[in-house]
Amino acid sequence: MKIDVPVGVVHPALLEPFRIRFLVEDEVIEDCEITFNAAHKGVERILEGLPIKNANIVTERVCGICSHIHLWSSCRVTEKTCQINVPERANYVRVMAAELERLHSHLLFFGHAFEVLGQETFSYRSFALRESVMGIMHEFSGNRVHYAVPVIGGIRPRCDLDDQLVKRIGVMVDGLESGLKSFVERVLDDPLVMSRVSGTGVLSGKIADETHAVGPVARSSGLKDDWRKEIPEYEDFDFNVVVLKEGDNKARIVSRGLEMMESMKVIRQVLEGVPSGPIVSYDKPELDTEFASSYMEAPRGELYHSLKVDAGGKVRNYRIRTPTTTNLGAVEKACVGDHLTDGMLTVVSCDPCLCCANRAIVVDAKTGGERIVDFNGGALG
Amino acid sequence: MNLASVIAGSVMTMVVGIAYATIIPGVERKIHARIQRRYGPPITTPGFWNILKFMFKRGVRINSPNAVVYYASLIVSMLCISLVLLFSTPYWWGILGFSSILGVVGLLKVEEASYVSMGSFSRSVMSAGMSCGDRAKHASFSGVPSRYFEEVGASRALKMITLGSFPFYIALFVPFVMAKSVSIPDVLSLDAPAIVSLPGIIAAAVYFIGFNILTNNRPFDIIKPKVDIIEGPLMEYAASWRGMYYLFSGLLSFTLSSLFVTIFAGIPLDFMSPGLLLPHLFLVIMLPACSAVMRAFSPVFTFKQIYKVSFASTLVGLIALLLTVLTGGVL
Repeated sequence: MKIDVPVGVVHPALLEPFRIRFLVEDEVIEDCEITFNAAHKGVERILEGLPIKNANIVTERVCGICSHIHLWSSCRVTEKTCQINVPERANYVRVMAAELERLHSHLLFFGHAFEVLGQETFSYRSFALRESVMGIMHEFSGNRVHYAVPVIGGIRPRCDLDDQLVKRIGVMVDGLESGLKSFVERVLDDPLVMSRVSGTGVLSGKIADETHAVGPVARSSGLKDDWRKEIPEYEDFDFNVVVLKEGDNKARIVSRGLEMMESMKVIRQVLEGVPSGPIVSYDKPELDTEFASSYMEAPRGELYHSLKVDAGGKVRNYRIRTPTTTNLGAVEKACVGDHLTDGMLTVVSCDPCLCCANRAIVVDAKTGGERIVDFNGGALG
Repeated sequence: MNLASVIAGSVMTMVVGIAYATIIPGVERKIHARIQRRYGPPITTPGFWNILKFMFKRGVRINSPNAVVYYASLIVSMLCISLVLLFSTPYWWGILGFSSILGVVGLLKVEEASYVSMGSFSRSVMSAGMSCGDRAKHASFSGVPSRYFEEVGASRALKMITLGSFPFYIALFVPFVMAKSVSIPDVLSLDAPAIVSLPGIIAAAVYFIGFNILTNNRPFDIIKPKVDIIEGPLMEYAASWRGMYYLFSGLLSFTLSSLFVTIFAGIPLDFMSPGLLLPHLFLVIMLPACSAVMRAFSPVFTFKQIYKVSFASTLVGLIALLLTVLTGGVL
């Protein structure tokens, strides 16, 4: 008999509010439906009408995990539309911050995934490893969550690299690399964990392509999809795009482990080759420009920011699309055939970040008009 | 044994059982924490102060078609476990046929079945369907009956009764086959404890797996994994009932561990013999401690893994049983 098992909006395995409906028969998932937008911040609406510098700061608040990449994307799209150049040294520091963020984001994913797996010891160890990255981010930027490294045209002066900081980050990366290697080996050698993650939550490359999966979810299913290889900011750095073909939960865990190694490679290149020079440019911004967009590779995948600036230097329109939005569609398909308990792991393995994705634009099907609703359902605009 | 001794012995047994039930969760948590490089809570916090805290919390009115049965299930479980503990002590061996393994197995089966009734009579808000969203036209599936987490837990409990607990009972029978009797005193009168023979060692290992299955410890906590059905059938036990459940959980661990020490090591819980009492009280903590170590390194098993483990353990248990029959337990 087919039954519907609703999970969430509030559930201990879900870090953020979203709702999953599993259609199961004898606990084997036959269909899955994920609904989000249970929590709403209205970031895009807030941004409209703000001066671009102020808007820039707000975009960092989109997410508490990948705050840097949002801020960088926001700066990038502003610099693109307003014709502002970025000094090379600032670009290097931005790249390093992004890779440090990727490290802590993936380690957070490990912690969450192993917790959902029921392997608390591995979960604690992931968080212990993550702590070293968080510590260095705090030292480097002055904050553990909102680092505020980029500003329009460069980076904040307090985030500039000096010799001591370069040395300390190098030591941290060395320590993290050895810890991570032994941790990943320990995970891969664990037959109990492998019995749960191997062959479950399989997302084929074809379905990943059809559902527009991005980031590690797509790369674990054989799609070579990484914006870092497309954008000029990463041209100076040598790293590999990790692509695995299995597409199961194991692949999604392993790919993130391997990606962290690549991130450390990039960080080392930044530390060794950071050029001297200014960290911010003071170009006069072009206003009332054309609509501009930016694609970047956030830890969870493709991140899209688009912006239109009016003649007064204020945001006329702002749009953000986060990787979770498209990845959840892929995960709905990946769950099919799993046991109910494995299905939850599969959802978590796409590393959903709902605080980024929830912006609650309600489209009227008849008129095509859009409106933003607040948490209580009242219209904001 | 006179009635006064039976009553005094039973009261002392229950007092010790409950005292251990409040300590065992703390010991397990401490072991967990040390493995995970943490300090962990003080030993009395999870089992004693936690229960005390729950006892003084305001109760909730549960959503159940029959709340009486839901609450009675826990009381029946607690009663069954208490009786199993008492039947394994020498005070009850002279009364009717209470020393029989058949009684112990029967009571444990009732305890296992109680999870089914718990799950069938509870409908928490944690998995309640959203009347608007779930019936929306664009929903990918509609018109399908919705199941509460507790009901899913109940069906899982049913599967565990039929298959999961096999290893435990097969291992439990091995010492009795050695003694060629269903009576516990006969097992204790064996020349050497069951655990010093090869079939006994094998059966002890299988018993350990069965112990984890019956106590719903990870990796066999499929009845109530936090990841999907949260607390499963036990979700709605709140306030004093939650405290009672924790007490029951600790008592279950103590009882099964005490049964192991009595039957396999040949050391009963006898307050009249301090020479037996102290080793018993020391050894009884070993099984939950080993279980805590295993739990720290295990993920939650789904039925895909549980079937394999249960089948393999049952097979090993059968080999132990066969060896006992062939050799008379002298190997």
